[in-house]
Amino acid sequence: MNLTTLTFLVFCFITILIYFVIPKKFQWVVLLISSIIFLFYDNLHISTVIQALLILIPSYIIGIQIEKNSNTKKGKIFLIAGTLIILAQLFYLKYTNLFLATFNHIFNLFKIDYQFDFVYRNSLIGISYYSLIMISYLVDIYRGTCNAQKNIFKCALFMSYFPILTSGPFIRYGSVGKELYEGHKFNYDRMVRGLVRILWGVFKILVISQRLGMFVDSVYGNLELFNFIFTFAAMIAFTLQLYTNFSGSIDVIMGISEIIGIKLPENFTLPFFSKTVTELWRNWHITLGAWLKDYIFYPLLKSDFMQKLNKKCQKRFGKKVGKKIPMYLSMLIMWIIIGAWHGGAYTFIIGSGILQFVYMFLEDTLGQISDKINKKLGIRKDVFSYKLYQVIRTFLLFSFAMIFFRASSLTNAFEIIKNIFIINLGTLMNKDALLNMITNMGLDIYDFAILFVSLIILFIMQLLARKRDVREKLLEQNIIFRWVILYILIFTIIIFGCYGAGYDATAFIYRQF
Amino acid sequence: MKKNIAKVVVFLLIFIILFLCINKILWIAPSPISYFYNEPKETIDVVYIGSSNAYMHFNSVLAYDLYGYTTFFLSTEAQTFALAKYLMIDAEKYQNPSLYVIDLGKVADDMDSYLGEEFRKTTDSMKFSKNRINAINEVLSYKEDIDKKDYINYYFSFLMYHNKWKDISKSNIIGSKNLYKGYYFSKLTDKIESHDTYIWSKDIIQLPEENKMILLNLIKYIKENNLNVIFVVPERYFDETFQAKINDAVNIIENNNLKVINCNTLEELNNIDFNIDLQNAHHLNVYGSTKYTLWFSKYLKENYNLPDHRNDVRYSSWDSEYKRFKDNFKKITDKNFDDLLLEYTNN
Amino acid sequence: MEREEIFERLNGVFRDVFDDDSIVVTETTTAKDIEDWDSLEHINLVVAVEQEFGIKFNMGEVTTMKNVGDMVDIIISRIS
Repeated sequence: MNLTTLTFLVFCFITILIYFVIPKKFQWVVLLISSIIFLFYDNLHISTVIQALLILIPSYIIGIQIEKNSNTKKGKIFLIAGTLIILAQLFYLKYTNLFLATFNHIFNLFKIDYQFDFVYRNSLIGISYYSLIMISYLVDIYRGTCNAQKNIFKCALFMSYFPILTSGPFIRYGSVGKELYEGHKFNYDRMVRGLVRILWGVFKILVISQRLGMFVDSVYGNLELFNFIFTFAAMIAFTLQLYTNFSGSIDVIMGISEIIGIKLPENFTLPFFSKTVTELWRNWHITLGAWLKDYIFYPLLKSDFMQKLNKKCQKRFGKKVGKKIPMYLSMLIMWIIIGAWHGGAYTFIIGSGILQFVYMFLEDTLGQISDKINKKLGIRKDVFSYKLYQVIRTFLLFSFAMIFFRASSLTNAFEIIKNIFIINLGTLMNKDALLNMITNMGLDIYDFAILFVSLIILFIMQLLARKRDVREKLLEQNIIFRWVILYILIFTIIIFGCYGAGYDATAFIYRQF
Repeated sequence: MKKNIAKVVVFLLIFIILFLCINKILWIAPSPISYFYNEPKETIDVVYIGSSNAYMHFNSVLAYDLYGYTTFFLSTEAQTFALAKYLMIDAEKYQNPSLYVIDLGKVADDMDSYLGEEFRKTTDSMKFSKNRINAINEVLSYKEDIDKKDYINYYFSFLMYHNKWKDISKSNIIGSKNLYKGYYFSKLTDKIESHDTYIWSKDIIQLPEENKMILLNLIKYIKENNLNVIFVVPERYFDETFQAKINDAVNIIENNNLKVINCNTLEELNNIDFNIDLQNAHHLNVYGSTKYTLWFSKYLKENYNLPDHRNDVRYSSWDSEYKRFKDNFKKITDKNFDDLLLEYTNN
Repeated sequence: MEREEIFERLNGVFRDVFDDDSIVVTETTTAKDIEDWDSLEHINLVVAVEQEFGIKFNMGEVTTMKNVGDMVDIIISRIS
């Protein structure tokens, strides 16, 4: 079920209605039933039911066993077993083709005349989310930061809480678990706050993201037609499309949960005001970064292997440089995993993985050198102009990496890059070619105007959001002002939203996980 | 608590009102059928149902000027025959016409391969009602590749047309008062090659099963409601297979004791010359349409009980639309329409 | 070992890890208070503390400790 469909709207409405009618003690059952419906919607087969059970039942049993055997070797064995079971399924369902493609490349390299055919595996919605969430559940039990859930149905709810299946965030059992199970009383203010957040999210998705998508698809789908200006614009547009789509989806998810009374961790905190790529990832898809940090990066860095490496490197290269090496190595591993999580293809591994590592590596190493240079040259870092430069630089670097994320293949990515960097000024003079580009770019003058205005609105909202809770401020205002703003927002979505048969359904991007 | 409920209710009410207003202003119905529901009650005498063969062949304002009865076209470009019954249901509900003219141009068109999205132009212009939903359901049932879930896109026009705000400035339907009461004319002439050998076939080929059912259901509806109906095969080019299938349809209608005319075989319409009277293979131009209207409007007057409103001031818009037509005719063809009428009636 | 003494020794560790002789940590010192104490340096800091006091933090503690006070609590519980 797509987040911005009538079906989903009706589904949520009914779920929430029933939720607040049922006595508190059984409210979690309503969530469980809805989540099951959502999980298997349009996808109810024996294979998918088995998929779900093969994660739920082992997690449930092993969780309890780990708790019984905490701090013993047996406990650790249970943990490893549970993690492997979950990962095995994830790999089988989502990464088989990546392995096959890799083998195919190797065969090509060694001139072996065999190519694997790619397979299609039907996986449940949210598998990339609930797999990692359940692994974190088991690890947290082992670490003693949460208890095991003794009720298998409650455990099922934690695994399948439906808003998260669409695009996260990654939740931890320790904090969100009890919120799922405890009853919540209906609160009018909470409902209004949630609805406003949902509206804002839908605005970002339907008015901005989908429209940007039409432009990006047209340019990237027809590269030969377009010159570097359009391709560059498409690069920027895709980054914005991705952001508004993903953060908009999160707004809807958070809004729904807020109405119900469940607090989830934030995933985005104005990432494009970041001054470095390193900083950006502290504000973009925050819960993914947190998961990787707590369950991969730290354990890796703290492992005996890394600590030994640390000692060796410090001996060889001195303290300062030495301690960086294991850190960079762990970071690289972490980023490869992040890249792979986004998709079982090399474009994702590079675009949302290795390239990000390269950026952060360069920022760390070159950053120190540039600081020294700036000091010598008297260039100030604390002034608006410098910060502006940093923000723009960060955004451009990130957008460049997103070329890979969006491209259909590595070859395609390089085609796009080539198009951007071959600055053929001649095409600027060719009126016919320009006209051709404008008519084929997927947006007419009206769409362009809407996009322009809404992006400005988005930017202003983000600027305002830096210093205040905009939603809170809005709801403090008097009723006429509030309602006028809300009606404008609602009707902007209804009139200018890209939905319905008249528009291409650009299925939202983070849902494929 | 009560205050909150009140707030929600008022908010929703205002929303609904705003929505209906915007619906009215922004969402341009794609065809003049939408004007039908605004016509004052009991003012439409003849309802002409069909495709462009209806509103391009029959000059309703001319007919009014000659005999004083009003004709409304419940017709859209390429309108599928399956919608005829549903349009009649709406016509019965909102008006009480003395006569229905049903154009048979599309009666033999294959239901699945032809449909496409074009039927939307019709259904989106129909007033939102159970009848409209039934119409959509029937038309879509012939299309195999449309998921039942997607039907909702057709029920609610705004899902498709909400982006029509772009066309507001270009619109010529809003504000324009159903130009010439729906009649559309073209001055072009397009000679078709086989004009000289165009003799209507006498063969009969069975209509496809679906088409036959649609026709029989329509006939059943007509009979159950005792409606005055005349079926018309438009004067234009049809290929031989189509001619044979239309012959089947004509037989079925005649076997059910309903009136049907085939313009292509009528003596009285021999004055129509495909060399000069066709816009293209599928439509008469303004000259052909004038000849057809001169005969057909008279035929209807003589055979059906149709009123004469020419002195009724409530129908003055018909006079003004006829005048507008003649003015535009002069602008486009550089001829006087009255002269043309004289020429045709003297032949 | 007294709490005071632990803080003294921690000062040394912090100064060493972050290369800043002016650092003084208190009960409520958090990562926000010290430049360079980000998620990347956190592990180095933790390992350095482990080595200084001859203890091991488990991952649960590493990820949940909120300030230096928490860290000291754990140290005390380990060495007593």
